[in-house]
Amino acid sequence: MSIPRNLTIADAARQLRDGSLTSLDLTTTILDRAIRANESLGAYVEITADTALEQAAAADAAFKAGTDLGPLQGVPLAIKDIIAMRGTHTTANSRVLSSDWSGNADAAVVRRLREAGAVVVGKSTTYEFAIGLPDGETGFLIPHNPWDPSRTAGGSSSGTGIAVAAGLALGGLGTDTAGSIRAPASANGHTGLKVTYGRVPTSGVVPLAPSLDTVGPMARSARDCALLLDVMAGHDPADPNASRHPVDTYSTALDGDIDGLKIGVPMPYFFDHDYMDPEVRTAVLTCIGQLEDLGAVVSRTELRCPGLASDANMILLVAEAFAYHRNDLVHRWTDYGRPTRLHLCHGAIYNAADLVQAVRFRHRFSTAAAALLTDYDVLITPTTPHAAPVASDVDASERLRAPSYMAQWSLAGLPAIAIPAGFDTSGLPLSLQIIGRPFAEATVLKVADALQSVTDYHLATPPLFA
Amino acid sequence: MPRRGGRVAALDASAAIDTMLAAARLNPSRAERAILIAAYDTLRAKADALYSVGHLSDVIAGGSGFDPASFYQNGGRDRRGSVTGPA
Repeated sequence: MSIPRNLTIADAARQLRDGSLTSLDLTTTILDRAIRANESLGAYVEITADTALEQAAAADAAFKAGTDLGPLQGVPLAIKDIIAMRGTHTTANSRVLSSDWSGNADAAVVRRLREAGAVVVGKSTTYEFAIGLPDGETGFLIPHNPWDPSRTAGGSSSGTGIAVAAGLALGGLGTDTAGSIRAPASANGHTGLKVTYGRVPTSGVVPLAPSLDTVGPMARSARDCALLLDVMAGHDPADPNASRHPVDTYSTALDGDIDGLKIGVPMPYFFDHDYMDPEVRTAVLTCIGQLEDLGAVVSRTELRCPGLASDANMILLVAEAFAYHRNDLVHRWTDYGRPTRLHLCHGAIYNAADLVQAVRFRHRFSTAAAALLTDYDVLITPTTPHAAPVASDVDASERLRAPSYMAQWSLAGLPAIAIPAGFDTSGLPLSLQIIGRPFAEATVLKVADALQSVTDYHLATPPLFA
Repeated sequence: MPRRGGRVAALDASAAIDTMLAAARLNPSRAERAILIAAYDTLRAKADALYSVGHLSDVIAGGSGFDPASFYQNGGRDRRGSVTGPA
């Protein structure tokens, strides 16, 4: 049977229940695509075909026996390879991480997906330790953008992003410390949610910067991300920063009603930066106009110090990452990929007072962002200032110069979803970002879903993999 | 003057990177050291800019005690329970 590459989790769940699709057929198709495309796209570090087929058969058997564990039962997913999963070696795309790092146990979030009956296709590619850049010298495949393989697939959750875009998984997990879910979602043309800090436990996840790290869903649509988050969210005693804040049922919040919802559009910096491609500005403002047509109340606003917030996030990130890696850098310098070890060294350039100042600024900025979000239900910005750049143009110095529209929300710990907003004239995906109040994932998902009910950008598939 | 200034800045970066590498017990190649030196001024400028923000004195006494977990568990409120933070 023919299974479309843009099949959503929600549609698969319906078909698995009405008998028009089996998990075994779905998983076999996904595995076949993943195995054939992996050399060229570099989506997976490891494809767990045997266990995926076992899980699919078990899901089908459960359906037949009348057992329904929820919408993820029998659905093939990708897990970023800094997240521990029983039966695999978590590599973090690095020669440095010990092969027994995870103790052959599941991360809390993987355990929850398994308990919901999900099928895991494999461990997906990341930038080394979620901070480097693609580096062939480390022996791992280079991730390529399925819309144009010469372009970056975004980072660091590139593999899950590629897998979703090219139909090599229906969804999956990424992590986001400064934009690592949202950048691949933007580059590859799908949806990705950075959750509120603490919303999803990070136990069993290789840390990058523990005061900023989050685990979140990546999928074709906001509805699919909601279905994933329904399972992923909630406290875990093994993660001291996992929140006990009540968990919503996110998928039931998507009723399409945004009448009267207040949207703030921070124009300075996010819409007028020199780096911005005017096509991004036009696409995002057009989408905001569509939300206004649906009844949202839109006004322009301003957020203070967005550039400094991005810089403060970077300082915290490299300082915390350097602290984690310092001893291994001393003893195993050349085992790290070159972009990784040089990027980690930035954390040693900053001194103790710089770190304290960044923490103090974080408090001030987070408070200001929370205050702004008392006036608005959500804020909307572009996710990135341009479509995915040519991979050979992206190096460490370029990353230092380019503005981030995502790091601010990591610094403030707020939920932010990246969703497709159209295409540029060369056919590459563009993306916008919806930011909400702490723990208001249901609201950002609802706004994203409302936009996706009147657009179909999220259903587009790369022509090379149509 | 600009040329002299540029030379002084480059020498400062070189010395700063060597000090950092020695303190961190790191021994990169010559080419890698050059890359770090080239990035130094940009990286420092980002930290220096944070010191230019006024009114940081309104941050809670002690200054560095931000606890993101409790902050967000309390719905974006700080430990005094105010959405907008201390006056």
